[in-house]
Amino acid sequence: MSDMHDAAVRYMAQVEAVCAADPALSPLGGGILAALALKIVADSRSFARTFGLEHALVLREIQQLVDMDRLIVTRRDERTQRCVYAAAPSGEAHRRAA
Amino acid sequence: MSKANFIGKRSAAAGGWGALKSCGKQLLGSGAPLMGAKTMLKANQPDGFDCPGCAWGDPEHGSSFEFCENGVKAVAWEATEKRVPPDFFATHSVTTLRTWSDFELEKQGRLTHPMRYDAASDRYLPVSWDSAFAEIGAILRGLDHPDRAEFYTSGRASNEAAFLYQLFVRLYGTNNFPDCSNMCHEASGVGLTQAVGVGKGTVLLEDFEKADAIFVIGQNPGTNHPRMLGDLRRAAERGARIVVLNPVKERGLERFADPQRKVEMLHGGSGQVATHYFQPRLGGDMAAVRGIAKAIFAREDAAQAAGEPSLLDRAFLAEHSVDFDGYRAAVDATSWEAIEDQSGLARADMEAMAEIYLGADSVICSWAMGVTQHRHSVPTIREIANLMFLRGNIGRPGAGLCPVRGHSNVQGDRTMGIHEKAPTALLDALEREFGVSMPRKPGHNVLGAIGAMLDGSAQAFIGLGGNFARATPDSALIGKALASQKLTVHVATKLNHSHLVPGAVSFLLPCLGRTEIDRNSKGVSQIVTVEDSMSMVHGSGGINPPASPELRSEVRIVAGIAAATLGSDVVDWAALADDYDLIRDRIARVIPGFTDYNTRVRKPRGFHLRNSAAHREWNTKTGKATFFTGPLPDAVEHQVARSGEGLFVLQTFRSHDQYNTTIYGMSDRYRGIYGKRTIVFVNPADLEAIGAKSGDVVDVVGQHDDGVSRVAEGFSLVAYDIPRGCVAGYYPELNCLVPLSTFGDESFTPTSKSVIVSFRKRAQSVAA
Repeated sequence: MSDMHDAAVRYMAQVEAVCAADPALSPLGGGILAALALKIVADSRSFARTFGLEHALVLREIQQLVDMDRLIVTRRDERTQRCVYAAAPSGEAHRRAA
Repeated sequence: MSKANFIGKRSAAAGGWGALKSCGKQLLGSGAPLMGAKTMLKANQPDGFDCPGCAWGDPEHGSSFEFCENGVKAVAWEATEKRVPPDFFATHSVTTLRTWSDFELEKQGRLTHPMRYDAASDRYLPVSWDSAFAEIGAILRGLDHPDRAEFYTSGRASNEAAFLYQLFVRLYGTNNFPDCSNMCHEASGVGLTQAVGVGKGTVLLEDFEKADAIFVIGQNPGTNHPRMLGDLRRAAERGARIVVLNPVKERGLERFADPQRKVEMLHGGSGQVATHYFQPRLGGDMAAVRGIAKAIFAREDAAQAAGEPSLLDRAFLAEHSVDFDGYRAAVDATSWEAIEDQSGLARADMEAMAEIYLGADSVICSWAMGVTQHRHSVPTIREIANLMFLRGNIGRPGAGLCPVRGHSNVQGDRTMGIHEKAPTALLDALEREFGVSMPRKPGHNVLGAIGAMLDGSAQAFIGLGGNFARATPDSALIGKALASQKLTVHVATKLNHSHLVPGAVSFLLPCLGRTEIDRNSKGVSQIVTVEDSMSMVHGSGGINPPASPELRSEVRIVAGIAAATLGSDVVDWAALADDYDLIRDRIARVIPGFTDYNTRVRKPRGFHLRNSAAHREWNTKTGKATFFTGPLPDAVEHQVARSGEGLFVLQTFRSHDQYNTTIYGMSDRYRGIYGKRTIVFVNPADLEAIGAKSGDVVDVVGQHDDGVSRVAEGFSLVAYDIPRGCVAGYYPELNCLVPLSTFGDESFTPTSKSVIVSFRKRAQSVAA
């Protein structure tokens, strides 16, 4: 239980830091960036499954982050729409600042 | 991108982080305040995503598209990276494109720019949106009467687009609303309105968890609504009886591998769906249901004679229904011989179904096109309702009537007022809201619109989505009708054959798809709303970037045409198109059941539109659930076909790689067909009787006695498990055989499941 708690605490701390650094981010957007920074997951479907979220909603948020120049999509599976992403160069700077 | 080079197929968090989900779940389950990541992230998701794959209920609105074949195909089809830019049209003339198949046309990808047809070069040329709107508006204003224009709606249109469209068309001055519902579930609307006072299904998704028996009539959910199979299979697993009546043995209805059960998918396993499978002849469903009722009455009589309690719900019949005695008399007057002959089933089959019905406390009956596309579809639906009334199987948990629609918002479009005979209450409400009078004269449905185009009284056709020329009967005739118009406008995502029969002035206007993010002038994402087959209304926002920066939403396109045609004195079209909440505010004030629309639609599952019949409130002419008391048809088509040598009854249906007129691929794996669509499925004994064998190539000849020659050339015969005298093949290829002049009584739906044909041998035969 303590390991699980630690994982949640560490992750949530990162989410809070990312969101604090950029108030324009939604919690979900911050969560995606935090998971990327902590190397938890770097694709939409894995993120959706890890956090029990609907894949479509994650895809939409990733597009929002792309529009905000925080992520770049490096691959997209045409069948499932799953996309692999990385921090955009400017987004990387945000991450380091956080 | 190839699948082979796609990394990370398995869903797995990096080491140590797998605990996160468990932790989040535990925190969520404990009811603790916002501490878990999952809880926090979920709290920020007001807008779902409605899968465009079908109209079956979807409680989650977000991931079903990737766990359902239809969903995957529909989303991937729209999200393709292929494009049809102006250069494409510079390369290919319209005449050349007409030689391409439906599949080849759509495979080219997404339309990217508004285009105008140039007759001199026989090509579509790019045009600006403003120029397009201005010219469309000028032509519409120039017609000598608003009734000269036909305004078609596909079931893809959202509630917001549909509401704005009907408002524009009525302010323009006509009720000409041919729509895709006219070609599919119109009979359900008509029949249910007569029987129970509301033209929609009465069940919720949760009712499938409570039903003891589910009758699935004339429906192939494996191909048309795959998510329904999951609900049927779960019902079968808990012991419910799943009774299927379908002339064609559909593999997907026999067994189903649920994509959400991953171990099963890996090992190729599947579970039983249908516990009982009966194959009536085409058009035999009404007789089959009457046979069930006849068997029930026989059992009831025996029970009464033995002094046992009634098997019927006498309280329901007394309090809620009228004409029960008339129905009993009609059933008594129908002989078993007539029932067996017309249904194609044995008396024992119907007695077996009666036992299942009587043994179930709660029964659902669902149906689709197999019931609705006959001449006698409305009486068939009334007969189904009769059966359900006998034991009060309506308006209580686990019981009810469930017409399953095809397109994901075909039901919502009708709710929004896409109706050539709009209810007076709707027109009154529109007049109150907008302060101007609405046209009261009934307009054209699909058949009326086609007739008007053919006789020259209609001069403009505006298509909000769809593929009118291919979805309709007598395809060649419809092509000519469209080409004869002064103006044709098609709002579309991809190229199809309707775009290739341009009128004198013709526009192709590319729109956003459901999967694409729709931003307004302020960059804010907008949601649209849809209504599923269970009358659940929910929001849907796009998930992918638009295929082209030039694309506009259907709402914005309708608003653009409306403003250019009518001006913005009565309605500020641009403001509505820039903020869909404002449209929903208008809907809330006009359409019953949509109070507080903007708030309720943003709740996780949206909201349920109240169904009066589900509450045992009967808005029928009698004020009660009303029994149908008429006889069976004198003869249905398979009986008529027996009178001539070599005649068969044809039904058209979808392949598994198909969604309405959209062809995703050339195969139909559940039926064992690969790479070919020019197929006719025939009973092996019939093949032998006509001296043919599987693989023979024939011409299919329409035998409707109206002097019109209808031939579908070069179709391969395939032996299949289908009743004798009945054959089947794919639309739209076989729509050329469906006569425009035959349609459902009262519903005016094309009789695509009752086409009398013969086969004409060709000189050469090749393997299928």
